[in-house]
Amino acid sequence: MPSMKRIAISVAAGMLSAAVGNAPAWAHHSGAMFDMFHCKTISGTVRVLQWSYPHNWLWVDQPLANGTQAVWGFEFMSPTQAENIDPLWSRDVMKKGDKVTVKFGPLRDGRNGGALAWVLIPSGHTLHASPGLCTLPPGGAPGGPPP
Amino acid sequence: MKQQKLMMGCAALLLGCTALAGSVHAQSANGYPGPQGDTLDSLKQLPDWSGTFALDRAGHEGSGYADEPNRPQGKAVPLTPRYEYLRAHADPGIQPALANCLPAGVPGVMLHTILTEFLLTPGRVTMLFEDGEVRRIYTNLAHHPDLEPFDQSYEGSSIGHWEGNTLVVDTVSFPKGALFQNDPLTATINSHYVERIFLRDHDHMEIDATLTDPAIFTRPYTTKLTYARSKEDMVEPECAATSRDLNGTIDLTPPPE
Repeated sequence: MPSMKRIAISVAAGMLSAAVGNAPAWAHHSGAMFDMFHCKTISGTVRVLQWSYPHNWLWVDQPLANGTQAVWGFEFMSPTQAENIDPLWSRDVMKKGDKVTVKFGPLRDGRNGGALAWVLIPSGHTLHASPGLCTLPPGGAPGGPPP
Repeated sequence: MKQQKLMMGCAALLLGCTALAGSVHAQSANGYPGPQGDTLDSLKQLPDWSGTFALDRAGHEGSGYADEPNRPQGKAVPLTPRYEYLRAHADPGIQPALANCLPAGVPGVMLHTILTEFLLTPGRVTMLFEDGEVRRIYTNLAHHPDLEPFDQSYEGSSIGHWEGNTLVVDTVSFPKGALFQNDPLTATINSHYVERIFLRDHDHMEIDATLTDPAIFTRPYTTKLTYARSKEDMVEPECAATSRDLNGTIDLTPPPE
């Protein structure tokens, strides 16, 4: 088992609480910097998955129309907590270059980042990172996580 | 003959003294009956809590402070009007201590899904948390020590005793301890936390806790937390090195590819 996988500090536990219906909450820090009610979706390729304490980060390269690419960073949970939501989560669940679709609560300051709601990976599996996030009316992005 | 009687008397006295010493020893340092873990011998009579545990999702959602305000109706946290107001008007820009890699403290550290070890050594049960926090529960003390060193504490002073296979922990003086998971509200110097910790079965540890503080709660607030045995091992915490959320900002510098 990869050693980093065992860096299982789970301090974003509040996000789990979203599963029971109200606005997702962050535990390690306030989620105020994220707009949990106006979720966005992007597609791109995996740049790197940081499997780390206190939060995991998924970095995605998004191709732009002008031929360049934008780099996005998505924060979510921590290893133990992610595994608690979906046992498929691990530091090796995706690799650089994998095509992914990501849904997230964007940073309110407009930078390329957000709170990860879920990511669709090439196997067709949807890895949920924060149950309840991006399913919340009103003002939420249309549609929730894919089935 | 007189000499023989004298010797027998001395022997009886010695035996009596030995028996008396033994009974005093068996009473344990904290004054409670039964094995108290204050000696290596008594530790052998206590349950096996080896391995790692983590608050499981069911335990997380079913109780505790974390899912407030998502608790089912009728099970709301019994906050006083002042603390209801403080929660409702909390400045979202103020981060809990944990956001800056400081301890969550009591009771907050018990409410996170982090790996935890329970180490039983003579006179002490030590809780090691994967974020680097440590709680020391003294099982060889009948009373709390001088609390002055704890007047700015996150974890407070904890003493414990065993009631069979249940460890009863009494914690006071933890004014920096986080009350909840996702806001900066903390306990007060008068908060009192009592936990009853036991293995419900081989794979699940239950912690029935009562938090009392008239300034915060209108009545003693009880929770039932479930920790599940984990297959993971503890590793070194490195929050300060890896957190991108220090000081209320987010560092979006991409990592090296």
